[in-house]
Amino acid sequence: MTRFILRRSAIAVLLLFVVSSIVFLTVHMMPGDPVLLMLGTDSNPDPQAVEALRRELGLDQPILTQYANWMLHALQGNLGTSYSEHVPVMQSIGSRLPRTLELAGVSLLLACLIGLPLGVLSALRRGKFSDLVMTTGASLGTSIPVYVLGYLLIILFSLNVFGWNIPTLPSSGYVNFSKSPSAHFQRLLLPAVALALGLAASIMRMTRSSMLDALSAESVRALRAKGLPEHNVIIRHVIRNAFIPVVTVIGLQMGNLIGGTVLCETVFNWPGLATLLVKAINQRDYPLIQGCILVMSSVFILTNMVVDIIYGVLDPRAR
Amino acid sequence: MDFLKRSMKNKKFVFSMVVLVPLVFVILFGPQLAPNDPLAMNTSSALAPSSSQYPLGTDEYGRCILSRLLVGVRPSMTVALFGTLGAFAAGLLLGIFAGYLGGKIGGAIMRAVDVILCFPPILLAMMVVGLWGAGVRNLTVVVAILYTPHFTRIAYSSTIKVRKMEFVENEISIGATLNRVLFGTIFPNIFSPLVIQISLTVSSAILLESGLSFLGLGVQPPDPSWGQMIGDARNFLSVDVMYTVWPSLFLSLTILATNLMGDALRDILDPKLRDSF
Repeated sequence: MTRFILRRSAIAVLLLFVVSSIVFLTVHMMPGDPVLLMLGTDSNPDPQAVEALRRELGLDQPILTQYANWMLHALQGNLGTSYSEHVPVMQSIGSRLPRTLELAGVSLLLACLIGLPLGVLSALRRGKFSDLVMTTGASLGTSIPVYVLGYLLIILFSLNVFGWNIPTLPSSGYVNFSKSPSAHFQRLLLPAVALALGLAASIMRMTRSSMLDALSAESVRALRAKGLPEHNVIIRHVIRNAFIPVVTVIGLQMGNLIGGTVLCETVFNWPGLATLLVKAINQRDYPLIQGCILVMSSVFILTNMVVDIIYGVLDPRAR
Repeated sequence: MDFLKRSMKNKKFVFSMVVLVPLVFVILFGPQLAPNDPLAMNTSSALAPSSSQYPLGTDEYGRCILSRLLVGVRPSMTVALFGTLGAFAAGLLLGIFAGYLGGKIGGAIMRAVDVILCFPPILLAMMVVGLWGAGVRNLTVVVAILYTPHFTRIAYSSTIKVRKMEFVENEISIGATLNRVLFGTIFPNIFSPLVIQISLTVSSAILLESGLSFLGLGVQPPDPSWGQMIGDARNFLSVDVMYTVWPSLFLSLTILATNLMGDALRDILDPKLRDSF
């Protein structure tokens, strides 16, 4: 077991290295000169100023030296200074990363709470009308883009176009938890639900099909034959086997979840890492773009590592 | 004929055709079908409700929403279809070679392709588009690169399975050329999982392209695209709900139909998996 975890961690470290190299290369291979961009759109800048800035940013060094320096700094947690805000990239990211992780984490939890029970239920009612309703809902859930779901939720619960007798929820913004926990959660609820529904649909479909597999196993017939009550068969044997493959699907969906936060944060003006990235791209702030992509990809790699380890714990054959 | 008969019995297939056939028509003849010029501004009738002149109303510049929807489908579909085609071709070649050669070279090809999977797809796309510029051509290339690993993996694992079968061994032993073995014998036998993957990839690519356009990183204005229209409508949600609803509805229906097509093809082409979803 320890060996398995060590090996999986070593792979994750290797992947982190590869990913950071690709990010560095992509940023440095891009067309256009960042120095000229930083000095503004002036078509005829002072050559001395250009040279000075180039030296200050280390862009006059050979690319391999630049790469080595960047890597050494990145290992020490220094991702450079933002062009547009003139603060360390790590500082901007540090203040926003927890909010994105909170949104993604709450959505993942909601998605499991919705997807797992519905998947089990629809497998047990296979072929009945309620199964048809649930699988149709899941097809819709995987097809509707997260921002469309977001607007749908805003239209229904924030603008309250049908005039339902419900307390309306704020459609955007962010309030610190320490300032007002209830206002914080009111603003978290809609984006988290919008992000969770698509994931819940995938989890539900996978749970359903893996429940159907587990239900048709020989061992289940044996358990029933020996007279074990049906609810015991389902809860203690079928569900335990059925949930293992679902872990893999959750892992595969992590990329979509992290990508989904980008769109979801934009819809709800949630000031997380994704909105920072979109701003950085629009302002061509290369160190900030580089930093955001690197941090979000690292989160992706690390969550995948955790999912793989959990899978290994649940199913010793996968080690 | 058997394929056709099974297809028409499949409700998902029929539903998706009901949406996709008119869609193809719109992709081909959208500009001719549009009742108004999709780029013509008319600020005096901005955010107008639906009328006989503007069947689905107008946007904030007084442009006809229906015309923009009919024209805006083309860039998204170009990106999705050609990007998928590129990914299919690259993935098939890489996967079939890696699977046929096997061993260390095959493994090395697979590891190299897997690197792309280390990034959440939309992030890699945002990085490339943000640095290299948006536009249909760049988006198509990004989609092709992003989805190559999926096809490579499928082609690789299916080739390995087929490669060991006797009829392939026989053909190699009587001295068939590599070209004939790979594309004459192995390719037809690994075709159905790849076809299923094509429809799944098209729907992911539509989602990706519209997401980027929604963020303002995809198709550039004044040319319309569905994702971009949803993004533009954001500021007018409390004034004109339908402005957001129409492009959202068209986009979601298209993705739903493409997804159902994938499900239907899996049911039809892969009897082993039938009824599992």
